[in-house]
Amino acid sequence: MMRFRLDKKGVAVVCLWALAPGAAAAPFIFWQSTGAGLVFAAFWLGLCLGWLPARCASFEGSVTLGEVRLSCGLLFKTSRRLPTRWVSASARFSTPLLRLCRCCVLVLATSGALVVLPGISDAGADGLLSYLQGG
Amino acid sequence: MEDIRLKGHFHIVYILKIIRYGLILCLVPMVQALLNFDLESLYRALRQDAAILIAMAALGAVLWRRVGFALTGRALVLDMGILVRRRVSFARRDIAVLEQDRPLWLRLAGGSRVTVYMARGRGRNRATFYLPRRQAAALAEALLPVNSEAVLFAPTRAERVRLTMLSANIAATAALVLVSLRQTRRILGAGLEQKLNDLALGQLAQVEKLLELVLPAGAAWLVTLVFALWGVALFASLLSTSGFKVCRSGGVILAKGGRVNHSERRIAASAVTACDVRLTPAGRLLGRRAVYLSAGSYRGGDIPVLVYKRGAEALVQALVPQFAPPPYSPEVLAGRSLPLFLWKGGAAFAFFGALMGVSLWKMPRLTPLLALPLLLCLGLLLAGLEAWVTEGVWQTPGGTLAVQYTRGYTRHTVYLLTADLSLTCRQTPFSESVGRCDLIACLPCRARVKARAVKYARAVRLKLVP
Repeated sequence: MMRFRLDKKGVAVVCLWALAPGAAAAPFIFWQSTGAGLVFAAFWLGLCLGWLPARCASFEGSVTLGEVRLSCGLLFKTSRRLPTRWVSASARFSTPLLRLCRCCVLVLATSGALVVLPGISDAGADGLLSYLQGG
Repeated sequence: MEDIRLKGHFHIVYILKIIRYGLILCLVPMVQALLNFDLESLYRALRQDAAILIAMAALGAVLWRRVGFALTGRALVLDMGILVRRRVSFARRDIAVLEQDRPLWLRLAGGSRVTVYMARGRGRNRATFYLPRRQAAALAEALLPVNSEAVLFAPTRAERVRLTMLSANIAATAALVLVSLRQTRRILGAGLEQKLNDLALGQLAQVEKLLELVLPAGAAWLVTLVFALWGVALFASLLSTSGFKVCRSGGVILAKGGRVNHSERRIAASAVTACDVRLTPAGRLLGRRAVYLSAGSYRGGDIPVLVYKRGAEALVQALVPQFAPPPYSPEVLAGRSLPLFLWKGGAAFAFFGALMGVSLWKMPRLTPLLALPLLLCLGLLLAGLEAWVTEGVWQTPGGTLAVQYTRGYTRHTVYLLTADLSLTCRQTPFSESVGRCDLIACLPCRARVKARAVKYARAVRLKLVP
């Protein structure tokens, strides 16, 4: 059995990505009214610096008995199981910032669904992939 | 590419794809004519449009010679595309379903629309192309051969009526009628369309007058509309299920039929991933269940492959050998949220109930008109109540998973015959407090099967790997 979690530095980079759309939208909302802009900024910062890191921190994954098991969530919990035999493809993405933190975004594909693991450490991704490839 | 078994060009209707781009180009002279707004500019624009269309057809004919298919010992290779050419290769062993459709316009042109569905894979796991009729038949025979047509299901007389009624889809027909009305207006112009509408409405008005003898005026109009739509749906279904038969030869399931539009589906029995047994309101009245098969990226189409009565599961087993329905094991109802199942039907029922109350008080004339939606909502409420009792998930020791759920008025029992699926459990704080979750199974055809409020302990214990 192998357990894996999302890396803290990787999660920080993902939160930084999530800040970008809010930063792009903020000038337009501040343009409308300062009050609405402040509310939006507080909401978005809360989302990216409060909720998202907490949700990513709650992520737990394991590979056992021919299954990949993933679970996350604070109040609304989600758990997922997919058979290792039917994981048909995997893809790894990394940006310069993610590479600096030795992290990546790992995507696993089965016939019916995609699983995205944002900000997993390189070591964790290597271990998971070698397990999936029968290593 | 060696060892080519079959090779050919696509049907000439393929160039319609190129002419389609020409139609966009045709708009340019038309815009000019509109700006000038005189008869001479209109004639000039029409001449230019004709020249553009002829040029596009000639270009299409030249490019058409470069697109085609080739069947080798291992793969089906398609050369497609016009400007950006692409070669797509499908492994023969992974082909799950081959569908041949011959709508009336294509029959007149002597072609078939062929769709190939793959058993697995995410990216391009299906392809649609047009072939001459004989070549399409030869390709189907080479990919999924049917040697002897041992007929398993060929409905006649009463069974035929039942199949027709179970295949009729009133919602889809209503949408189709609306779209075709809009198209008629575009093609024939508002004046002629108005005359046709008046003619149709005149016929319906006579039926309505007849119904008004037994029903109040508003309700008679609503009943006439529902019955007219249902009649159209039944007629469409009658045509598409005419001469319908299902055979099994070796490892291939063959389902074909249709009067105006011919269709033929060949399904590799080993690639069947799910068997959806549907119990619709019409099915409840007739005591029949409709079976839809999904294989790989194929979702099951709109005509069932089989209609059987309760207890005749052997018929399905004869069609799909791996079909072994697990014995029904109901969910424990203690702690199961009733509002979760009843809120949709209940909200609609309360809304129409309130409207009816107001109409009784203020406008008694409208009351009968509201009685019909109220009855429909009552049906939805009852279906929700049934879902509360019956929705759930269970499994055989062998690993066949069955998920039963209700959507609208229809009860689905989906038997999952593959291990190529993923299971997701979702919990809210409320469902977590009573140890329940929503279970979602993702199938290779990207369909999601969802059972609400099942026991979390039971969902976790389900075996994913047989």
